[in-house]
Formats: sequence, structure tokens, C-alpha cells
Amino acid sequence: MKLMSIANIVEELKKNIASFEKNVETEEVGLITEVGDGIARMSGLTNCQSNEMLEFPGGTFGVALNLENETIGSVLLGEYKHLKEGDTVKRTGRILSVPVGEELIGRVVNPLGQPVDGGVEIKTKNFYPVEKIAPGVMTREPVTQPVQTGIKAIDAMIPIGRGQRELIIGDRQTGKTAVAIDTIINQKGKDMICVYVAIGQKESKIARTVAKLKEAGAMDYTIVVLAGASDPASTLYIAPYAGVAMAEYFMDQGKDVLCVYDDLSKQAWAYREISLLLRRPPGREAYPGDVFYLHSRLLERACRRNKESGGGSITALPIIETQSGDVTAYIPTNVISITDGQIFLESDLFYRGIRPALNVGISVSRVGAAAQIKPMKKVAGKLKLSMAQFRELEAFAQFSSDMDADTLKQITLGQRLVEILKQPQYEPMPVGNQVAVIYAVSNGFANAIDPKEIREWELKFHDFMTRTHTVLLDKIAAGNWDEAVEKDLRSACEDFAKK
Amino acid sequence: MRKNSARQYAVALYQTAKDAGKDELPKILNNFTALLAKNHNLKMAKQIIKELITHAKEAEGINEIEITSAKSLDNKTIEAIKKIFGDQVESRETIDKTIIGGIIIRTKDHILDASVKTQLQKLRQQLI
Repeated sequence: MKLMSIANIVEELKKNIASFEKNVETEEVGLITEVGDGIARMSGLTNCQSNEMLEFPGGTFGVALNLENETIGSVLLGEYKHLKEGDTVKRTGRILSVPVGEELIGRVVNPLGQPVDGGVEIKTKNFYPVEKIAPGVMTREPVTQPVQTGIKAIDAMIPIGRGQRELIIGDRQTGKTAVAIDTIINQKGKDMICVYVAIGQKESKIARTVAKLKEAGAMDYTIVVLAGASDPASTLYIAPYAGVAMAEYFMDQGKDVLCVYDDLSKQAWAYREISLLLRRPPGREAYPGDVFYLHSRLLERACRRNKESGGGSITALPIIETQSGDVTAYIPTNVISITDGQIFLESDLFYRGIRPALNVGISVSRVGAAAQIKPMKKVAGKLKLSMAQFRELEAFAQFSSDMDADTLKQITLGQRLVEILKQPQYEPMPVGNQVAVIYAVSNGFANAIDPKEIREWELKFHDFMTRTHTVLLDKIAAGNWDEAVEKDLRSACEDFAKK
Repeated sequence: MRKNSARQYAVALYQTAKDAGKDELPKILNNFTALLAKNHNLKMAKQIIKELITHAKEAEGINEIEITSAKSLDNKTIEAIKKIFGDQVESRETIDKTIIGGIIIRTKDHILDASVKTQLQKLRQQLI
């Protein structure tokens, strides 16, 4: 039997070899005229397309960016030390694309889709082009469903909807990444795929983040795209596009995706580096003229698609790092104008112990309110008003000791609201509990508690609620809010206060 | 002022010198050298000469090809190959034993690969 099969195989092989076509390979080639600093210029390749992949000797790939009269300028993806003047460069006829599919979930990959987590090779059926035109008007619909970040201050006052682009902006060390990571952790069981694109960050920080995501069980629905600080500028530049291409695959399956770009200022630096090396004329802050398009074409790919076009959504959370709070710099203003709102994090607040260090006054969400669930909308309205009044009185209260009862009441309430909006890292909170606790505090149930002890009070409150009022919390989380629910919540708060 | 590339110089020189009479040529060349000196571009001379030759060949419709083979080819074969690429063809032959057999022809923008080595590689890819 075994012999038979071997004979069969030999027969097959013979047939295969006999039928092998001896085609003459025709390839379009060019010659390198200049190479260095991660870019190469070459002559020839007359039919080369923009953004086409080029094959260099030794298996290095490049992307054609500058198509000029006589020469082509390209960035090199990967090692280039072995390249020299006069080497042949082949056209591939392919636009730069990345592997996409379910196989990527739970993995850490580089912007070309190759694993960097030491795991097995990723074999996907599909490839998506890195650059793609964003969906048009006719395929979109307004944002209606919320993305629960699990952070009280954000879910209540700066709500984010599925398909929105919300900028997270702040100085270094203000907890920008923490907000994004908490949001990813909170998506557990919410039917959301997350893509975390790390651009130009320390690999140690990424290792920590990935470990944290694994610990929280968030890697089951997350892809990490990593372009570290030691990677060449070309990979930093394509990383967010690669990430969104992977996200688009899931959107095409009708799923909701959350995309975090951490951070886009580093990507803009990488693009500036490439542009200057390619001798494109520099503009403001030495960025090239198309740096706005660099970010707008990326963020425009975030969308909520209507049912007729297949549904699905991509929510984008771009992160921008400012230098000493300067939001009027080139890149921050650009990205602020592109996104549907921004979350401002301030180092002053951070050092005062208000974490997340959210500046509620200037943070906005332009479309998220439509996506907020009804109970949250109700309690957040009151919260916002009380916070605004408190901010006005706060400075004034520092000077005068004797105040009328009304003012004093406002300040007492405000201090407790500030305390209740504080939240430790990696502890996202279910929306039902958020509503309950904000309702309790803004209705004065915590006024008797010392602000320093609010945290302890809050823990006890949640413990009490989850033990005795699970049905009510579920009802609230499902978006129910009427007089009966409010009455139940009020009596629950009263019960807790009695204890 | 934008710098001129070697190719731009070569094209300019070719166009002026092409229709010049015998007496004018030294004058043109003199002026050209003076221009290079004025623009501090004398160090580009070598490149300009190289570009001039390629450009002249292009302009006069001469095709340049490079034939790589495992064994040296006889004149008849080379002539036959040249004929395919047009009337005026200049060829350069190199011998590379590693391609095992067949030929590789290289024109300005293309490589025609009919070597045994590449075909074996393709067969290997197909079988595995």
C-alpha cells in the first residue's frame, strides 16, 4: 500500500514537472542612485505607482513616495545597510498592504503584520491595503450607540459614541495612555474589537501595557500594533494606517471596533523626518505641507456605517502629546480641528491628585451626547451644572470664611463631586454603578461625609448596591429611566445612608 | 537658484552641440566649461559625460541591452537577440555561471529572465 502511494506521488510529480510552464520572467527594474538614512533614490522604474511596494536585494521592501521626473524616492521598511549604489530594484505591482483577520486578535504585530510577540507565524487569508479612501457620506449614519470607557468623569460629561473620533490630549505623564487602556479593558463582553497602535514608544512601556491587558483578559479581543522607538521612521509612519486597515476588516464583518493611536505627534515627527530626507519643502515647524492630510485621511476612516452598507463602526481615540500645555502648536490644533471633541488632561490637576486629570471645562464631545444612555444623560445634566457652579465659587471661597448657606451648600457638594470623579487606573466601572453613585452624590447623600473619606464611602456604596440592588443596576445599564426607577434608586440611597 | 542636475546639463549640451558646425563646437564646449566653473559644478563633469552618452543614445534611438548567460554565446545568437530589440542595438555580454543555463536580458527598464536558475526556483515554489 505504501509503495503504491509512493509510486503515485512520483507519477504526480512527473506530471507536474512535465506540465510546468517555462515562462520568461519579465520584471521592471530600476537602479539605486542614492541610499541612506532609511530612504533610497533610484532611476528607471518608469511605470512605478505612488505608494507601490518595491523589492530591494536581500528581501528588503520599500514604498515609493516621491515620483519625480528622473528619479523615484522611497522609504525603506527595515534593514538597509547592505544596499549600495547600482543595486537593482524590482517593482512588485502591489500597493502596500497588511494581513487582516481574526488570527491577529490577541497578538502583538509590527506595522507589516509580522508577529513580534514571539508567537507562531500569522497566516491570514486576506490582505487589506494600508491606504484606503474613507467611506463616503451615503454609507454613513449618525452616532447613536455609546462606547463605555468605564471612567466616571468621561462617561458622564464627555460621552463617546461608536464611530466617533475623540482626541485625548495632554502633556507627558498626565495619564493619556491610562485613559485609553482603561477604555480597552472596559470593552470586555461588549462585542467590541480593539486595536491599540503604539507609535514610537519605549518597548518596556509596551511590554507593561500588554501584560496589563493580558491580566485584565483584554487581549482576547485586542490587537496591538507596535512600532517601537527603535524602529525606523518609515514603520512609525505607516503604523496607524496599518492599524486602521486591520480594524476595517472587522468593520466589514459588521463589527464595532475601537482604534487607539498612541500617539500621533510621534507619527507626525516620523513623517517630518521622512519628508525632510526626501527633500520635500518644509513648512511651519518644519512639517511638510501635507501634514494635515496625514492625520485627516487617517481619522476620516473612523465612521459609523449604515445597515445598507454593511454596518459596523470604527471609533478612533487618537492621542496627542503637547509640550508644556501648548495646544496652539501646529499638530495639536490640526488634530483638534479634525476630531469630534477632545479630552484635555492637565499636569496641574494630576499633581493635585485629581486622576484622571481631566479638565472638565475645556473637554468636549461634539457628537457623543446622542449616544449616551438615558439614565446617564439625566444624572450627568445635574452633575455638569453643579460642577460649573462649584468652579465659579471655588476661587471665591478661598478668600472669604463666612458664606451664606446656599453658597456653602454648593461648595460642599462640589468638593464631593470632585472626589467622586476621581478613579484609580485599571479599574473601569460598569455604567449602572456610575449612574447610581453620581446620582447619590449629586443629590446630597454624601454631603455628611468628609471629602477625604469619599473613596471609602464609594467602595461601601458599590458593595451595598451590587449586593442588594443588582436588578436595579441592570435596569439602569439597559437604559431604563422613569419615575419608578428613580424612586427605587432614591430609596436605595436612603437605605444606604441609614446604615 | 535651483541646482541643475547632471542630466539637465547633459541634455542642454546635447541639444546645443547636436546641430553645431565644426567651427562652433570648440566655442560651445568652452562656454559650457565656463558655465560649469561659474556654477561651481566642475566636479560633476564625469557624471555629465556619462549622462551625455546615455542621452545621446536615447535621442538617436539606440537601445542598450545587457545579456547574461552561463556560457559565451556565438555571434549569430547575439545578432538574433539584438534584432528583437530594434534596429540599432548595442549589447554587452557577461558570463555568470550561477544561472546554470539560459539567458537574462536586461534593457533600460526591464529584466527578461529566461535563466534555468529562476525556472528551477519557480518549479520549487510550485511543488512545495
